[in-house]
Amino acid sequence: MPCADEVWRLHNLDQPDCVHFRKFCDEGGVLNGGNPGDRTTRQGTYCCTPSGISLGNMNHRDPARIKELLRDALKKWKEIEKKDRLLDYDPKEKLSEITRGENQYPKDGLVLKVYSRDLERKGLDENDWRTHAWNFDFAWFRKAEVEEMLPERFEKKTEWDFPEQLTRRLYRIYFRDNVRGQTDPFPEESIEKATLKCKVTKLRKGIVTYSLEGEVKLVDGERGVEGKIMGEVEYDTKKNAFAKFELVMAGERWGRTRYNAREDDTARAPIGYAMKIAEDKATEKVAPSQLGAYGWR
Amino acid sequence: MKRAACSLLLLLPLCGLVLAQDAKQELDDKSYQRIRDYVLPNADEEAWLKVNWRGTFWDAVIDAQKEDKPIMLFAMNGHPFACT
Repeated sequence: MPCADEVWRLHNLDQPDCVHFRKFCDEGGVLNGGNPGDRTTRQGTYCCTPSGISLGNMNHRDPARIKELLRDALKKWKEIEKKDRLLDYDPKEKLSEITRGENQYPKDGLVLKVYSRDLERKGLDENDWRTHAWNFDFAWFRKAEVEEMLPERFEKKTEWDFPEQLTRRLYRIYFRDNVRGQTDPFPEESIEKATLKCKVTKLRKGIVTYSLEGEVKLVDGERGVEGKIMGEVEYDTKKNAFAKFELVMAGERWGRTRYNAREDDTARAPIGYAMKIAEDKATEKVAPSQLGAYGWR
Repeated sequence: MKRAACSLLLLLPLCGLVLAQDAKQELDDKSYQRIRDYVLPNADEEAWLKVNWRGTFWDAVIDAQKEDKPIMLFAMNGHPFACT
C-alpha cells in the first residue's frame, strides 16, 4: 500500500498516526545519522505492517536499492502471522483524533494545481538537475471565495476585478521561487503590484467563459518577482462549478532564500507558472504548503 | 580604417554578451500556449502519478488493514506531493 506523508509532523506530534509511526521508524537503525529520541529528521522510505511492525527502511533515491528494500519487506511480511501484522481495532476509529491541513480540503470550492519552472535560458549545464527542476503546490479556495470570483451579470463583455484579497494571496504565496526547493511566501508588504482583470468573452449553453489579465511585482529585500498574468476560465452555471480555470504567469525572478538552491543564481532570470484545476484524487488533495498563510479560521 | 577595425574588435565581446543574455519572454496571446506547455510537466515527469498513492500515512493504514497488505511510506520534510 504506497503512501507519502510529511515527516516532521509524524515524528513530533502525539496524534494517533504520529505515535504509530514512532513505533517502528527507528527499528533496525535510525535514519539520517540520528539517535533514538532525538530530533534529527526521519526522512526516508519505510515499510511496515498495518499493526506497526517494521519491515525495513532506508533514505535513498536509487531505484535499485528501493526495489531491494521492497523485496525484503515482502519476504518479512509473509513470515508474520496475520493476527500480528494487523491492528486489533479499526484504524478508521482514530480519524477524528487526527487534525491536519487536509481536513480543510474545500470539496465544494476550487482547488488549483500550481506548477513552477524556470523558462528557457542560455548557458545552463544540461547535466545539472537544477536546469530541469520544476515544482508544484496547491491553491485552495472556499465556496464563498469562489462566489466572489464571479461577475454580477453573466453578460458578454462584462468586466470586473478579481477579488483583491484573493489576488494578493494568490500572488504572494504562489509566485514565490520554489522551482528548486522550499521557500517562504512573500509578505503582504512586499506587494508593489497585484492586478487581475476579468472579462466575459463567451456565453454558450450555460458556460460562461471569461479571460484573466494582470500584472505582479513583489519585492522582499534582495529577492523579488515581476511578471504578466493571463488566463481563461469556464464557469458552468448549471453545475455552479468551474469547468476550466487556467492561469499562466511569465516574468523574472531574482534573489534567493535559504533552501531554494539559488546560491549561485541570484540575478534576474525568467520564470513561469501555470495553474489548472486539480484532479479529484489522493495525490491532489494534499494541503497547500503555505496553508497557514491563508488566514483561514 | 584601422581605427574602425579596432572599434569593431572592441565591440565583439559586447555582441557576445548581448547574445548570451536571455530574451525576456513576454506573455501575450501568441506566446500563452507555448509558455503554458513549457511550464507544465510532460508524461515522463509525472510518471510517478501512475502509482495508486495514498496521500497520508493513516489512509494507507486504513486501506492496508482492510486489504491485509504491507505499507510503503515515503516520508519527507514537506509533503512529497506538494511541499518539496
